Amino acid sequence: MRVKFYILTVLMITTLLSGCLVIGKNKEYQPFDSTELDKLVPGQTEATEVTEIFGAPSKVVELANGNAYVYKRTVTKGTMCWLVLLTFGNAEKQHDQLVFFFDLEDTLTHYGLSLDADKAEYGFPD
Amino acid sequence: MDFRINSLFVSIMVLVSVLLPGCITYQISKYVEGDEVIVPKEKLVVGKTTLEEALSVLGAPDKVAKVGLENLLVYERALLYRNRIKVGIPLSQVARGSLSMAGYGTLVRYDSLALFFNTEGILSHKTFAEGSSHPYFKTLFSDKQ
Repeated sequence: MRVKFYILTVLMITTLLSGCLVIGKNKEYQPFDSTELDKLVPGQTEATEVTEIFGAPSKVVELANGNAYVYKRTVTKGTMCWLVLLTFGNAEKQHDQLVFFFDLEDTLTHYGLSLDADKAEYGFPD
Repeated sequence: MDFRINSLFVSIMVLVSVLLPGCITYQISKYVEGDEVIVPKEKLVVGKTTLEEALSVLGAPDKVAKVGLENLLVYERALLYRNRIKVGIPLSQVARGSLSMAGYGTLVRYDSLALFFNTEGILSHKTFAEGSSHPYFKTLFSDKQ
């Protein structure tokens, strides 16, 4: 009798825990190299030099006193887990971003860099 | 008595392993976009902090825009949470249709730091909204928009 009980319990647990796990990764790639920033000198570097080094920007934004060139690449990591009654889904999207600010003469005034794409992680919702 | 208990147990087993898969499902989803927005208040002083200083502290902004005679930099993180429950009776083996009922709640919260710079590159004003500090269920079922 006890053996039957154990068998049924094990069957129930395996049924409840049977499921599936999927992980996935998406990448929106833009091949800019942040080490090339050393070549830039605010107040001297022209917009054309920036595009020669970093390629075409992802986006150009008109500002009150010039323009901003935005370079962006993203990494998304997703996790899905199906159990019998429960489904967990988790996705995290992080990006590397480089923004150049130019004055009205298209001379570089400032730039900002964020490298967060490596922070994207697989996981479960908390 | 033993027979009755076993019959009950077997019935529960059948119910769980045959009927429940697909009958009741609960889904928990989370989506995060962007890194945590940390606001170093002492390093962002209105009328004093320059664009260069802000960029060196916070890095590249997520959004850049022209707002009147000023430039707006936005640092943002989006957090989406969704809970979904579905209850159904799969009748496809015996009938053409199936009965099902589902309910879900999705809440997207934003942590946003907006910095406004004048044309001289000086911080003119700033604002920070920490959407993630609002609890999921309370915010989702609140009447406030």
